Amino acid sequence: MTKVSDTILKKIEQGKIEPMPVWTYTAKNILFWSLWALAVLIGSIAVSAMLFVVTHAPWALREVTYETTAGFVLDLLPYFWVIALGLMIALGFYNLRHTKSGYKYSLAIVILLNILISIILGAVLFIVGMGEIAENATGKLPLRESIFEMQANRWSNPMNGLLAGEIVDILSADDGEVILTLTAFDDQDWKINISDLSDEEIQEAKIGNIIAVIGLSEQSIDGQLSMYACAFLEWGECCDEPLVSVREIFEDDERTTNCRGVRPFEALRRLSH
Amino acid sequence: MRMHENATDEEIALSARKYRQDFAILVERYQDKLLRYIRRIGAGEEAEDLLQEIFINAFRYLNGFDPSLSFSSWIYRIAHNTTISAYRKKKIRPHGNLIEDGDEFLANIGTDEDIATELETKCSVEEINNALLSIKQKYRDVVVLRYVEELEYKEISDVLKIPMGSVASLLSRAKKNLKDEISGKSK
Repeated sequence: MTKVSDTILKKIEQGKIEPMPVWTYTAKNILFWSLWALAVLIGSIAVSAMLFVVTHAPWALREVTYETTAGFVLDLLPYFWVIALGLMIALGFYNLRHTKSGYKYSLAIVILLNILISIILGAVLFIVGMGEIAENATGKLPLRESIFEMQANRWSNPMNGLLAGEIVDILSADDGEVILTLTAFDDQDWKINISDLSDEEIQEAKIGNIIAVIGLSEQSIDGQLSMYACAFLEWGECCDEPLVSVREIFEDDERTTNCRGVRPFEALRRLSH
Repeated sequence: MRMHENATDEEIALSARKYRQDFAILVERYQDKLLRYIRRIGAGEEAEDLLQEIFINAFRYLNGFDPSLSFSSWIYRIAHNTTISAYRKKKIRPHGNLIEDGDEFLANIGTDEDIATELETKCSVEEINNALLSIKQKYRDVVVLRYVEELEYKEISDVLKIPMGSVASLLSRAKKNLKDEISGKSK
């Protein structure tokens, strides 16, 4: 009777079977470790972008731009980055499990390890400015709204008293009225009546400045878009840096009653007290 | 160079990468154990063909053997994977000779008094086999490796490529399933 070992060696010989080269195992191991590292790196970038969003959100003006803090928080939550981090953690787990010794680690340990590394590395990347770069770079993706776009959209809402854009002209009439021409983010021109503002504020209005106006949208017979300004803030690098501080705006408040009851304006007034 | 018969499995496996004759020693050492094992996890009359396929696969993957692990765990893993994949390819259910000696099985599983009593008092070998065949494959695998092949948790972890903690929890659930299955059948 033929021994099993003889049969097997014969089959190996006849089939010209050779052990798979060592490099295929090494390459597979390196590939999965690299994919794990890449997943952790992308997860860390997601954390850095989340930190950027949270630290650069216009918290101070949330009552001006949103009716409720909950609405602001819901709008601010970096869903894209949270989903990206979740996917990267899952991908990291998958890749680590496919390394030579990855099966020895439990799901909880691998996930906690991935989260911990992502948080630490994410904080470092945030400090070196990666968060802002990531937030900007992904802003153009479909269904994605960066914090910059989110704020721009929030301030493109004249019916709710919020309008931002660039000052392209300033006209002072003989009767004391001062009218700005503002090109909004959707490229439409608006006439902004800033007569009600203090002299200091009016002096801050300069052609080329980008400002965020709080006011009353007005009906116009000739179709000209116009707004009566109650206050304006400079559009900072990330919409949270008013040119004139909120307290200064209302320091010497001699405004007419036109703006009373305008919700964003009342919220801004409350901030000054 | 032919390895000495007294050399360890790991030494022979490393040598067989260069000298295929040495692989014959491993075949001789493991053919009976593996044949029993694959029958226990469900192989029927195709078991001997499957055994050849297992050794050919083991030879093919020899460079992937990590000498820091035991050769036994490694070849059991190949046997397990080859058998399971053969079932999947042929879409067949495992056969029914998982255990041959009920007493030995009971002695091994006897660390859990409840289940041991349940099995002892109410079951024949055939009934235990039927119960094993009724539980999920993942439960059957750990029960066979632990109580029939008598492997340690670490070895089972290496064979099934799952963390040691998962081996313990799978084993605990497997025993519960087995007990439920036997209780259900005896009612």
